[in-house]
Amino acid sequence: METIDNSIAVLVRNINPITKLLIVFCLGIGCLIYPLPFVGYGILCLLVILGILIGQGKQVLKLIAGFGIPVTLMLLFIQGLYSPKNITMIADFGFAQMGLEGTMYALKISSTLLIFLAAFYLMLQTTKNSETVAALTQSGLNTKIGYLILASLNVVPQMQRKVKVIQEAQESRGVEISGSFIQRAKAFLPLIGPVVLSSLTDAQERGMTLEIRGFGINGDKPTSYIKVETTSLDIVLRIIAICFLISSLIPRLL
Amino acid sequence: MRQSFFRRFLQTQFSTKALVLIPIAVGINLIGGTLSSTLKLPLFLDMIGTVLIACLAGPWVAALCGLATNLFLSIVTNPVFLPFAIVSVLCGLVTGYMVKAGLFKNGFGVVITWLACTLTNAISAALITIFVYGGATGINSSSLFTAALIATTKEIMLSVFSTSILENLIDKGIVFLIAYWLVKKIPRRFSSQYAPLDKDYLLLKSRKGS
Repeated sequence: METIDNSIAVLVRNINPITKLLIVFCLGIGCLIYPLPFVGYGILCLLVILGILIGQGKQVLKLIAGFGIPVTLMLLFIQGLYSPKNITMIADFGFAQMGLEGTMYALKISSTLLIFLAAFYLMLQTTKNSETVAALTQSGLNTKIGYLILASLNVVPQMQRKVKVIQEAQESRGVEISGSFIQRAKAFLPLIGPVVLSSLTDAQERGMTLEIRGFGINGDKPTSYIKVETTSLDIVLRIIAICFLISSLIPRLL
Repeated sequence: MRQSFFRRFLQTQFSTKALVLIPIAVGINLIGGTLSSTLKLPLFLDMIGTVLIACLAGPWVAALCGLATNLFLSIVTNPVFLPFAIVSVLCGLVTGYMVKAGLFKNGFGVVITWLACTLTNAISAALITIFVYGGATGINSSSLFTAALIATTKEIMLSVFSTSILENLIDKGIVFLIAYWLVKKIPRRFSSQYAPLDKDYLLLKSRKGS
């Protein structure tokens, strides 16, 4: 995580992770419920502006362009041209006709996807994973589940290092990891075998270590080094997020 | 009464020993994916860990492992993977119960498990792709194949489903082959410690006593 210290970045970083999660889900689900796709793209613009303000503009735009453009085109192709809901035709490509209903549907799904993507990305860039898990356990998530999430996040880079070491060792023994398809496929087993078996013994040791420190005790709530606070700003933001969700319901009900 | 049943279920299924396997299995799942992309194989191979853990620690731990894998993928790479957690959970459960029924002991059983898992995976993944994403997720090249099929058959449902079943048959076949080979390599002395506690005489007795 890069640290950019303008005042907005600090403000965003200090928001309670639960508030951020709530905002992400309210934005995404609100856009899904609202009948027209344009609200979604408006919010996407706001998210990009927020990203630029906290110094993540380039990455957010790259993410949206890299994932958003292909998926939008693909959905426009599938739903716009071949959706069974198409009644009103707006364009003719010769081999197929473009329908209004399917196009709208495709745009809505892609806008919702992009909002989830951008909002989630911004949240992850401004929050430490340990803080998110601490906030979730404080508000009632099982501590074991919290441990699982954090441990998975930590174990994976560790295993990737191990793979690298094993790859070098196997290469020095003469295992070819480049070449024809069959040769590459053959290299898979000598790489994954040692990783799996040594990781399993690691897991055994980790289990013993945790058990010694009382991980298996039920009923006791362990204390955490990380304190997460809920400020008045959090409460205001939560209310705004929920209001947005409710207001997106209104055009559906009327 | 119900509460105590649930408690006992949690205690028997999710011992600390089994829980610490989950991060490792998540790691194996992801390493399978990264290895197949570094070796430039056109596969995912992202279920090896789930199958292994289903063999070692039972269906429910495997289901939790599937959930954790997709949670991790959606945090680290792309939130698109989050709805597919249901697919991983179902696959973990199916594989786990098949293993429990003793089907992972010989080649024939492995084939049956493979087919069952492929079917579960293909159907649930296709349903999610259609109803959540409208036909394509754009995360791999199979979306292009789906689009081509839709252009020829003009049927969204059929095209998504046939793409899904094709790629799963090949992918899961290799996953199960590798997993079977790996399970054979794990020493008995190691795997016996994860023997399921379902009918654990001592645990049930102490529960009754308290």
